[in-house]
Amino acid sequence: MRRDWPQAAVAYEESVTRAFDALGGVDLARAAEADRTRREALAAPALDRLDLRGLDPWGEEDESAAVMLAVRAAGAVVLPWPLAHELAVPADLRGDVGGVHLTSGDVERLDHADLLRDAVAVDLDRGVARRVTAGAPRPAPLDPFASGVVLGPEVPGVDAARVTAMRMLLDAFWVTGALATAADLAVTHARDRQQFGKPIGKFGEIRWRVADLSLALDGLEELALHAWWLVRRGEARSADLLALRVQMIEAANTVLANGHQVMGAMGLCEEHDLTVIDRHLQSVLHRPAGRIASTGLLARAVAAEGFDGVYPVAAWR
Amino acid sequence: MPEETSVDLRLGTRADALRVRLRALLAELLPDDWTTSFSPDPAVQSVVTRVVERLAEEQLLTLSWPEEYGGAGTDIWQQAVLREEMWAHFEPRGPQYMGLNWVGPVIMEVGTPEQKALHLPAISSGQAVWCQGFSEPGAGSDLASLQLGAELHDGEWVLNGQKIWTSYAGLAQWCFLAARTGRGAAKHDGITIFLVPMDSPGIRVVPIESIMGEQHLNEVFFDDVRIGPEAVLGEVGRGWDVIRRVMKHERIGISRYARDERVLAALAGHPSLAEPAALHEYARALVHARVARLLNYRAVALNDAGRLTDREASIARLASIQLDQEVAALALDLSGADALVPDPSAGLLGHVEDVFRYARSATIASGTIEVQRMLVARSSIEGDRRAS
Ligand SMILES: Cc1cc2nc3c(=O)[nH]c(=O)nc-3n(C[C@H](O)[C@H](O)[C@H](O)COP(=O)(O)OP(=O)(O)OC[C@H]3O[C@@H](n4cnc5c(N)ncnc54)[C@H](O)[C@@H]3O)c2cc1C
Repeated sequence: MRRDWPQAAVAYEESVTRAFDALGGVDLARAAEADRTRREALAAPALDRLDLRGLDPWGEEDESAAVMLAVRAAGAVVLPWPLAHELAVPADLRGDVGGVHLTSGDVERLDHADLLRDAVAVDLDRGVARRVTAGAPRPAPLDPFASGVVLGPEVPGVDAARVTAMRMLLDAFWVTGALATAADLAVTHARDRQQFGKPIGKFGEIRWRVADLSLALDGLEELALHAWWLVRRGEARSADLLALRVQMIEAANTVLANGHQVMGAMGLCEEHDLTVIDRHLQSVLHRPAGRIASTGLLARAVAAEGFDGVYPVAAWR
Repeated sequence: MPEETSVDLRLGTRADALRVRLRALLAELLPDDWTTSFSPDPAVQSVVTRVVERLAEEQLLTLSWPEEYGGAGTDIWQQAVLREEMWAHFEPRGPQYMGLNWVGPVIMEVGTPEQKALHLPAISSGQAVWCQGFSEPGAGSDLASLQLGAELHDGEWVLNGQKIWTSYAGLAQWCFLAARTGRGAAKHDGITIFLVPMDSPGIRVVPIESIMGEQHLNEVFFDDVRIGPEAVLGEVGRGWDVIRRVMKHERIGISRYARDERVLAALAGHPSLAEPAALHEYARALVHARVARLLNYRAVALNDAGRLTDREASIARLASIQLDQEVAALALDLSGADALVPDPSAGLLGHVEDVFRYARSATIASGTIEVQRMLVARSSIEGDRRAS
């Protein structure tokens, strides 16, 4: 077994991290939320300097790995840009399709819909892509870049299963990055914040929370690596990607809830990165389906396809 | 895609082949209703003997040992597969796994030539049963506070005191015993390890009935037990160093997730899964099982590279032990009230009550879940400690 990311991809991730940190990190998200017309000006120049939007997640191993880790680095600052949406478009369609949204059933709003030209929405249940027409912005604290949308006619020529798998994979890397930042904030606070004359990280209750959020995050990281590898080998089935999505949502709930608790009142402030990360992550955690609905999709996929393992589960429906 | 990629998460053809071979062997040797090796029942112990002898014959018993001690020169993933298949099949090596996993390796590291000659062949041929005499009524998680005393009289050590929770004490010929031979500045000082024959006069084993069934838990009383200086393993008073070595060998814990995956696979298509709420819980358990397995594989890989810290070791363990309880509770619940009574004719699912009872101990044995969480948090907050 070889489980280390290619060196080139790791180096690329570091350059992406440096670029966004230099621009202010999570402040980019704050600025974009304050004035959504600035998203392009805030994020696009850096993305273009990094040549990130031109990379192909279906490309050679180094390139594909670089995309995953770069999306993770962008997620680490909840970059106010629909990067996973753009990168999930196969190279041969990028001229005609500007981005991929995932939906499950009818939707009235989508994130960043106003920014993406010629985007499609792929419906998980029916496996068809439809043209997205953006309407008025509808921002809200938990959905800062939402716009009203109307879904048009079916767009032919989009391999729905393929783009769905890639978008779910990219989302998992995005969320991994965001959760790693949240976990870092909590661990650092546990070390630095003193109460009752000692660091709060000495208290068993805080250690318990740090352990649980570490476990959740590491589990997501390993599963994301595994799913990426399956996708590259052409062995990923929809149950594998849905399993990743379920773990992603459960991990996010664990990391964010425990992270907030460790931070105390300070973590609830808009000034604090944890709150911005928490709010800006909700869109990907709920689109195309939240925890319960995603689990339902996974359950049906397992019954229909089975699930691989040391003792594989056989399909029964 | 190209043949040689940077990332390849397969265990390798040697490991895959070993899995096939082990499954065939166990299918041949184990009775259909096999669920435990923890029983003094002669029928059960004769199965254990049969399995152990056959594994020894096929050079599979000491798979993980260095070649100079009869090991098979295998890779870490073959060893991982062996752990998985044994645990998935209710550890048919019985108590032998202790001898193989840590008693033998620690004797190799710190034993005298005489100790190696006496013990290693007996372990590698599957003839010696060991028990671990660490815990005491007053020393659980806080193991270093142990009190069982050993005093030197006329060139002999005299042992007095009590051990508790000692698995297999009633079947064992040898005890890997931690005793107090002195006191130092720290409570870790003054502990000594003894390799004690269980038939020594003055040793009394009292089984403890428990939710898990026979042989899991025992009390062992030491009443003026006299043993020679050759029984000391390592240095007198430096037993804590030996215990740390034991812990190092136990860092890659048992592969609980493998049995859990087997139980989940057996539940596929179960009529109770027609209920959507049940199917949802089942699907979540599958995700958690895969995550636990991947976290365990990470620990194995890091261990091999000399990079395993408390953080990753205990994260793997936390994932496994919680999964164990999740799957056990789920399997029993999905199986319905009739499954509270074992049904030997119903294969694995006829024994979910056994799986459930045993899983109660998952978060207590070999370091409680609270202690594992402490290790993860300490390592994350205060910096990582590498395994010594
Ligand atoms: C099935 C089984 C087999 C076993 N086999 C053996 C064996 O063969 N040989 C052997 O020597 N021992 C054996 N043990 C004993 C095992 O190692 C101990 O049970 C374990 O170390 C915990 O000790 P304890 O049971 O005394 O619990 P305690 O240490 O008394 O703990 C009670 C509770 O307090 C918590 N606690 C303790 N300290 C802390 C702390 N610092 N912070 C927060 N919480 C804390 C614990 O997590 C637990 O929840 C076995 C146990 C089981 C269940």
